[in-house]
Amino acid sequence: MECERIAELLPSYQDGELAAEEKAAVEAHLRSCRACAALSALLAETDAALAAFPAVEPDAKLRSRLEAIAERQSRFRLFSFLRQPKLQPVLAAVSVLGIIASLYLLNPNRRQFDKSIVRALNRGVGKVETLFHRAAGGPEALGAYAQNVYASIQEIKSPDRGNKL
Amino acid sequence: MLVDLFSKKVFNLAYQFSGSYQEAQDLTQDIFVKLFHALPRYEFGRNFSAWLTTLAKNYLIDEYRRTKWEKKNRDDFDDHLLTAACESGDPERDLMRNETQRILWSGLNRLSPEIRLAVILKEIQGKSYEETAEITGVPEGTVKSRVNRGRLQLARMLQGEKESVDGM
Repeated sequence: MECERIAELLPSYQDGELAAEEKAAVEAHLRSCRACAALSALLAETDAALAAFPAVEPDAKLRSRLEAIAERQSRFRLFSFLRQPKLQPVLAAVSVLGIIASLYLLNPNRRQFDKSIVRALNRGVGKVETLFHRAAGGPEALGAYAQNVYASIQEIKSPDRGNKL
Repeated sequence: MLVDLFSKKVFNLAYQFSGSYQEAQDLTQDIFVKLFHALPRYEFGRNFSAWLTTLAKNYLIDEYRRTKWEKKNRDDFDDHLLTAACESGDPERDLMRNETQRILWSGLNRLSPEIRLAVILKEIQGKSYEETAEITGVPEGTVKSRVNRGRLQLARMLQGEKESVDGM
């Protein structure tokens, strides 16, 4: 049990991070326990061996594969610009307009289509003209109507009204 | 330029973590693809090296969880590592150190991925606790505890190996 507790403290002991009291306890234990003293020495050996681990050179083929990735990415940077979320409504609107334009331009009965559009436009213009003419007599009619409404309001407001009722 | 500066660093992290030279090459390639996609999200002023290492670490851990590397064996230590190891001029000392490194190299696979990564970053790559905490995204105290547990586990593996050799 004591050995287990001391073993837990060994890494901090090796790093010199223990408080004076704990350090003294570890040192006293190491003097009396050969197994823990051996583990402490092996921990130091482990640290030294890990620190001396060699860095390995990657394969030359890997390097050329990585450079190819970098080149490909720069070529597609324009597409990544177009993939920005804020451009999505604009791209959607352009697509819809493109579909409408293609339906019109590629329509085999385009002449008839044109004629029907002109006819519809003419009909629309005719309706607007009719409405305009009707509206021309409007102000007078509205004037008489407005006078009636005014007179009715005056009558309601007049103090004699209560007596008449 | 990014390839010149960081390919060796990323490759070594992947190699030390996975233990397989071939696997590390594929992982490095995947990490660079991820890096180029993530570059627009990089905030200038941040430590680029730490940012890249975090990206690499996330990918390595995700891949580890997906493929469960612990079931596979690591490459033998003498395949690529011995050729890269520097010699001290004392053949007996070099031999002993290489033997220790061989045991630790295979022992890394028996550490949990979080502890293994903390040990690699702090003890093998020589990063500070602060840098390791930034890369792994956990508090410094957690990093310290993971590194210490890893060191102790490796020392015990070394002890076990040496005892089994002495017992022969």
